[in-house]
Amino acid sequence: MPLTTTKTRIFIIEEQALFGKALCQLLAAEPTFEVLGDLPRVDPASPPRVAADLIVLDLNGPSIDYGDEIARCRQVFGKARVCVLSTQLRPEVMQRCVAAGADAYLAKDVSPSELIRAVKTVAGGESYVDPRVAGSLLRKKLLSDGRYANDELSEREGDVVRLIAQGLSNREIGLRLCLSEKTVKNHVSRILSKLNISARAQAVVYAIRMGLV
Amino acid sequence: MRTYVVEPQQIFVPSLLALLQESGCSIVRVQSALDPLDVVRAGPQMLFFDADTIDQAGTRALQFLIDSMPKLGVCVYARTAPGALKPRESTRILHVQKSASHETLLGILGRFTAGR
Repeated sequence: MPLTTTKTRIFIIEEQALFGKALCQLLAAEPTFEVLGDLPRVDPASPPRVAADLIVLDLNGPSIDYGDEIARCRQVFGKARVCVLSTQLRPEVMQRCVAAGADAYLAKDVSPSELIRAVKTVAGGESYVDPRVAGSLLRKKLLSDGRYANDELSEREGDVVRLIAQGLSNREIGLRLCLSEKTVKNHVSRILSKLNISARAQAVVYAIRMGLV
Repeated sequence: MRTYVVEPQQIFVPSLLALLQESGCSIVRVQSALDPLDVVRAGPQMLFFDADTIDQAGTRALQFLIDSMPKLGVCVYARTAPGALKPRESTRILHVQKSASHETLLGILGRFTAGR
């Protein structure tokens, strides 16, 4: 009776065209992987007709909503495991991805051998986080005595987020906190940057999730 | 054209080097981060630079190279046009988008190197 081996069927979502091809080549060279193809983005309206076990998903860009992208990927590919590649080494971005359903989080400057190790780990049903990101998260957790969920924001920034969530304008927040409108605007910019979000509405969602309001 | 490459994505380096060589570049060095003094020492004709992981120090280093090496061509490879880099001489600085296909990149790089 012939021996049969089940290969992990992989699909790649990568906007950087050449990087996508490089990923295909690298993963296809691994005997236990079968690369089904690649696309620059996920479009639920015209999903690729492939039965993938694992998706390598590139998530980058300042305006991207990580949760939405992973949800879209899950919608299109069903139960496939999701391995996120990102240029972001910030642990809060990794946390957002994992919370949204990612099974792995890796920085894009990962070595080829580490990428293959990560994909194999995830294909085997486990999770994988880039050790640099995990280490950074651990350090922050230890330094903040376990309170790492929203310690990215200063106390003042936390106040501003809370007031944004109450529907106040920058001017109204300034009056409430005895700050100039320009200072409030600066706080808002820093908050959006730290949380890697692009709109006040997302800050409201963050405040609700973190129990700030 | 003697080309110095700064590309932190190790997975991508072999494909990138093949593309650059196909477009007529000879690679003098490949680094994962921009070290301006090393670029000066290597004396390339072109710097191929992945700008998506650049920080403020990297932007300053790049500007230093643009100012101090007037004959250096700079190819900025990025997802979107980096606002911090204001090219003064468009013939010296080329922005290449990461979404471009192999053929598009080959054409753009070929024209850029031929024009220098």
